[in-house]
Amino acid sequence: MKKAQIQMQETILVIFIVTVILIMGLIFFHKFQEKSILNEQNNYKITKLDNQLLTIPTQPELQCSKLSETENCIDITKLEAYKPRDLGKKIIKINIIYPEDTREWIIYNNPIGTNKLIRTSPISLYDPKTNKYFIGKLTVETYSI
Amino acid sequence: MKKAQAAQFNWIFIMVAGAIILTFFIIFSIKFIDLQNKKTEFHIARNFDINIESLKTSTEEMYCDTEISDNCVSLGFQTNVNLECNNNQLNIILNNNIIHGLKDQTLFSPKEFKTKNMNFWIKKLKYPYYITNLIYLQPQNHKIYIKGDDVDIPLIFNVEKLTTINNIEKNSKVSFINIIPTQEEINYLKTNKIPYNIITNNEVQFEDEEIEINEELIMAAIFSDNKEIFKCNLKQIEKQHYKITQLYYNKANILKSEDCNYNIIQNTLTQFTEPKEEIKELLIKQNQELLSQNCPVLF
Repeated sequence: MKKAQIQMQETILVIFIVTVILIMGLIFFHKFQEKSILNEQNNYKITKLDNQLLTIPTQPELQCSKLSETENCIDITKLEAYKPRDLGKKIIKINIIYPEDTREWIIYNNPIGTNKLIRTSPISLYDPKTNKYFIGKLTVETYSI
Repeated sequence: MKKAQAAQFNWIFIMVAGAIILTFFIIFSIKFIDLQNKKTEFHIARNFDINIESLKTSTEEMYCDTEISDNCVSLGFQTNVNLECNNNQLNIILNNNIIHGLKDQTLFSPKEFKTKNMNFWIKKLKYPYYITNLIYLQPQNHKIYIKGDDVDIPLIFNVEKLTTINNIEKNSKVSFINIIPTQEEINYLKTNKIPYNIITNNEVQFEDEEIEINEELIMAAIFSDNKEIFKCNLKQIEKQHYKITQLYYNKANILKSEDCNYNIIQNTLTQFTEPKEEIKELLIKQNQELLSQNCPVLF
């Protein structure tokens, strides 16, 4: 009887240990998957943000044009007239770098969240009132909770 | 007897424990497969989203063939793609599961198709100023048959002149350009459920409905095979047209000065609520007049 009891206890102990190892393996696998998914999510956000940096200067709402021919620059008067709708949780701003000019435009301002991703890009700006070109910086800050 | 009973209990215990572990692994495998499918669908949606976004950056007309360039729209996997219109916004449904909304973007393509790679073409729509990019999309296993006037479509697209109606392949559509199809052709197309449309210079007829278009949208009609999606795209273009017209009106306010009067062109812009050829020509003329007055042009 005692031998049987010992054997039973042995079996239970083995199953218990195997279960613990399995659970540990699952927890490790789950953490690994979670990290992998978070990385993918971050990479996607970065790619999307980079795309946005490229698309903003070529939008018909901002792009320069002369006699219906588009040019690779942002029209400052369009910038002042542009009122975008919902573009998500971000701040989009443009400022002039050269020649020296203190003008800055905040195209869109909706910073909701604590985590932020910032990307900048050089752009060409054109002022039709003075017929002058400038070098500017486009900054897009994307927020997430 | 007791020894035999003990052995029996042992076996029962082993079988129960084994069944529990096996069940656990089966459930885990099912959940894992489900997760991997969701990950695959996410990859497809992400590829689609990034590629469609990238198309907006095109500054010139361009077309792309996935056989040649990696920078085209490739979904990575064979995917069921469905287009639907919801509140005048185009949604793309991938694998009957993932819905991707095309905000402020037009897409002229078949309504339903299954493919991995797609060829596309981007053209700027100007009326008379730059309104939006028109994206024409053709799945690589799709064919467009044309009968009537010749059209200038890049060679990478699968387009063929229609000779005999009976030789039309599956996964295709037919466009009759400035020509009336015979009753025999219409009956054949309807019986075999092949989408078709009849295009003239100022309208396109899908099934029994005629939709007014202008010359700039003839190519859009060739790439489309469904009237609801086509109308949805037109609404999107109208919305964008209105938005850009408003923007130019506001720009004129900013450009106003003692030497430069923009009231005349602003007045014309207020009449430009619908695309009209006469008003478009008038705007072009008034814009050019600004240049001759040494004033900054509006567009």
